[in-house]
Parts: sequence; C-alpha cells; structure tokens
Amino acid sequence: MKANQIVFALALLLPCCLLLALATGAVSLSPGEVLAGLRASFDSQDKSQAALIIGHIRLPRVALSAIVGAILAISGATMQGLFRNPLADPSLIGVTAGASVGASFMIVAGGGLISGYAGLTLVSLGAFCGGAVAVIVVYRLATSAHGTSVATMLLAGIAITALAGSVTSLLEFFVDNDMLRRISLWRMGGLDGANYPRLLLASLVGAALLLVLPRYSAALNALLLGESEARHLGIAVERVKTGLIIWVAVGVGTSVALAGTIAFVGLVVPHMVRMLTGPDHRWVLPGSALAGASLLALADALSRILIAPTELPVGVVTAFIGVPFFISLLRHRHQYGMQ
Amino acid sequence: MAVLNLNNICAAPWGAPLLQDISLELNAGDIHGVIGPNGAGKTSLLACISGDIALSGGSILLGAKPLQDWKPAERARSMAVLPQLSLLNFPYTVGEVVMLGRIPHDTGVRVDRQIVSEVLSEMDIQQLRERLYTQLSGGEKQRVQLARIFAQVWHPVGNRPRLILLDEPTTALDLSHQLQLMQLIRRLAEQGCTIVMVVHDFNLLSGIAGQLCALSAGRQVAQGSVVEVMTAAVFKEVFAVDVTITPHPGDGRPIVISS
Repeated sequence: MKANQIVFALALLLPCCLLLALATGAVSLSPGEVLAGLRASFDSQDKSQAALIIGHIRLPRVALSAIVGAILAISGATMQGLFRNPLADPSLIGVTAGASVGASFMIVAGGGLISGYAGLTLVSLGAFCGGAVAVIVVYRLATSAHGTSVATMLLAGIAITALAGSVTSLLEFFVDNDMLRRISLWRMGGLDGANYPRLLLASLVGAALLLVLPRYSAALNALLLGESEARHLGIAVERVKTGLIIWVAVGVGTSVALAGTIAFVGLVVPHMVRMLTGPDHRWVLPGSALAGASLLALADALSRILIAPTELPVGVVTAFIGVPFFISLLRHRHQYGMQ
Repeated sequence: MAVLNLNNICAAPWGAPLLQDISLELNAGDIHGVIGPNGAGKTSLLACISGDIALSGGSILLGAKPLQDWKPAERARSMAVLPQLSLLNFPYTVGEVVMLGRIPHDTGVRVDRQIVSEVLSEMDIQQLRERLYTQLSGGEKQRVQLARIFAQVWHPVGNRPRLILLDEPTTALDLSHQLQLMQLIRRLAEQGCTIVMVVHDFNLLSGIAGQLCALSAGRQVAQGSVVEVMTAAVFKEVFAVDVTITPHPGDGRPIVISS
C-alpha cells in the first residue's frame, strides 16, 4: 500500500474505534443507540438513558482519550525525527518525569486538604509546571553558543529523568500508604477525570499541535539527513529545533497533566506508522496522530470493561495491546528497511 | 563577477586555528580542486564556505553579498554541499532522498519530479528509484547523495550564482562511475556552475580541475593552475612524499606516480 492510502485507511479506522469506544462500558450500547445518544446529547430536553450515558460520561472521556492519544503520538513522531532516532520518546526531554514530580508534590502537599475536581486540577497544574521546568532545564543544559545539541539533550534528559525519579521516590518514601497508592495510580495514567473543561483544554492544545507540527514536515524530512545537511537545504535548523521542542513540551505536558503518564503510545505508534508509510513526515505525522487516537480510545474502552466495575489504568492496557503488534513488526523489520 | 571570494579567511571554532589566511577567487564555470593530507583543513574550508563554521577573521562573498547576509533558504537555492560522510539511516526510498534536494525550491511537484528523473539517470541509478536507501551498497548510496546535491542546483534560479561543494565525491565509486561523475561535473561547469571539490585522486583531479589549492596544517601552501601546483616540490612539502610527476601520454597533463 502507498503512504497516502495508509493514512486514508487510518482516517477511516478512527471513527470506527471512537464508535466502538462509545458503545463499550458498564452498559453496552448498539451503534444505533450510540448515534441516537450522540444526537440527543446536544439536545438538553432529551433525558433518555443512552443520551445521559453518552453525553455526560462517555463522550468527554472517549474524546479526551483520542485527543491525548493523538497528541502523544504526533509528539513522539516529531521527537524521533528531531533526534534522528526511531527509539526516541517524548519523555526523553524530561517532561514526563518532571510532571511526575510536580503531580506527586501536589498530591502530597494538597491532597489531604482538597478533594474532587479542585484537587484534580491542582494535580494537573503541578504536573504541567513540573514538566515545563524539566524541559527548560534540559534545553538550557544542551544549548551553548554553538546551538542546541540534540545528543546532549538526550543525555541531559536522561539525567533529569533520573533526578526527577529520585525526587518522586523520596516523596513516596515519606508519605502514608493512601497517598502512595494515589501517586502510583496517577503514574499509571487514567482518563477517569474526563470532563468538558478538560476536554476543551485538550482540544485547544491538540488542534494547535495538529495544525502546527505538520508544517515542519519538510524540515523534519531534511533533518533525517543530519543537521548540517538540513542547513544546506535552507532549513533554519536552530529555530526549527527550538520551535519543535516548545510545541512537544506543551503537548506532552498537557497530556500528562490531564491523563497521567501513558507510556508506549508516543514511542511505538510513530514507529509502527513509519514502518507502514516510510519515513516521510508528511505521512508519518498525520498517520501517527490518527493511529494514536484510535489506539488510546480502544485501550481506554478496554480498561473500562476488562475487570468491570473496577477500571484498569489505561497505561497498562496500551502496553498489552500495542506490544504484541510492535513485536510482530520488529520481527519483520527487514521488509521495512530498518536495520 | 566572481561567484565566490575568500578574503584571508581564518577559522578557529574550537580554540586552536583550523584555517589561516586562505584566499580564493572563483568565477562561474570554474572547477577548483583542494588537496592536502588528512587533517589539513580541507573539510573545514568547505564548512566555512557553506557557513557551518563561523570565521574568526577574513570574509567570504557569495555572488555580490557577504555569505552571512544570505537567508538560509535563498542560499540553499544557490549552493549545494556533498558531505564527506552521510549518516542517513531511515529507510527512505532512493527517489525520496533525491527529492529532498528540491526542498529549497517551490517549483512545483511536476518540475521537481522531472529534475529527479534527470539526475537519477545522470547518476545511473534510475533503476534503484523505488529501492530503500538503507539497503544500498556504499557506492550506490554515494551516487544517491550526489544525485540529491545535483537536484538542488540542477537549473539556475534567475541569474543567481550556482556553487557546488563536493567533499570526496568519488569515495566508493567504481572507475566507470568516477568518469561518469567527472563528465557531469564538467558539463555543469560549462553551464556556469562553480565547483569546489576535495579529491585524493590527483590523476582524476588533474584531468578536470582548472585551479588547485594545496593545504597543509590549515595554511594555503600552493595555489594556481594544475601544472603549477602538481609538482614534486609541492608534494614533498605537503605530503612529505617523493613522487614522480610525468605528462599523461594522451593529453600531456601532469600525472602523479607515487612509488
């Protein structure tokens, strides 16, 4: 299949996954009921059971999962291009570990006092600030008069991630069992806090990312040749690097703040898409966004029903779905030209 | 008007000087060879001309403007650079790699495709177009990279200068492809391209270069026509090797016998 056909197929797959995710849960709905419920949820007069379930519970959650999945995957694709390494991950620049410290700190400091949505918002804010601080530190460490070195950035990201991990562990060491469990659940990721204000924030950030990052496709394509080669092709490399890192930090920071750390989507989805479409970012970026949205919506649906009425952390499920598929691709990697 | 003018340039990006007082003036259609031992500063010289290394002294004019006044995209339409080593390890197809050379231009897909087809057949790799770059042999990869460079400056844009910098372009090429490349370089020069190339094969160079520059430890030891630079004395000074220089039995140009 050609790259454009694969992206087209992924675009067809996404609505199917979203419908499936909307239909799945404690109460299963038929596709017809889902569509009727969707129509009815925009009509405040309709108080049918399907309309309530779709409008109040499932729609914000499924939409949030799809947007977070799209953000993580397109950010991962961007980072892999920028680092010229198919094993790069958005968390490499320290954003995830920094966010964990921020969120854990907020859970420990404010968790006993504030509960419900206010607490959740405070934790998200802590996560976003922690992620931002970590990225700024990593970026400053890697930037000198000669420009920003992505290799140094990778190492600085590892160092900051390790440091942040220790700080989180230290916090965990001193808190009681209840908080320890909350921190650890937050870290496994979950979309159970979905509501419309959060969905609005995610949509704004997601839309900005989906509009801006594809405009860097040519620059990312050139960067795969190497930084000086990209410069010789007329790319303003330093400006591109700074822009991409800011956008990825905002995207991943937001998604971690809203849904905790969801591993695997940012690393593996772009990798799988690249194996199918080839490395051209004009296809990899939209393809990753579509595939990431589909994967996370499905994974979240599974996390709701696998051991219902209890929910599994979605990060656990993404790994269970994605890893077998990824391993099968790895076993056939020579077909796709990966060494 | 000169296409490239180097005025006593010096460069010391990491403290110790890499290049000292290099001066060159190249016109449209000139083919200029750079020779010298390993570490003499040949690649650094190309890096200065392509703007990768900042100068610590002197100035470079590309066309009528100082090099640093060119916008990156505008400069890329006038100058293409073949690096000594290419580290591309993503599985682009050959056609896609060559198409990357068209990034600086907005001539439209149809023109770009036409140019890619032309350079692919010039480099004798049109049959590899759909193959993955990562699965090619070293010589094939080199020809793909060369095709990408040529695609970048295949047609003149307005009356802007066209400059091609080639760092060891014949690496990994077999004899027939080396000669094919030299013919293409000669043809591009006849169309007004200026070419600066670092080559270690002096006998290949003497057949194509108009001017030569010999570098040693960052200094310009000799500069002039092939006959002036390719002498036993220069080789003794630059490479510390005794060579015999003898006229080519065909056209009389100097050739080097090193044993």
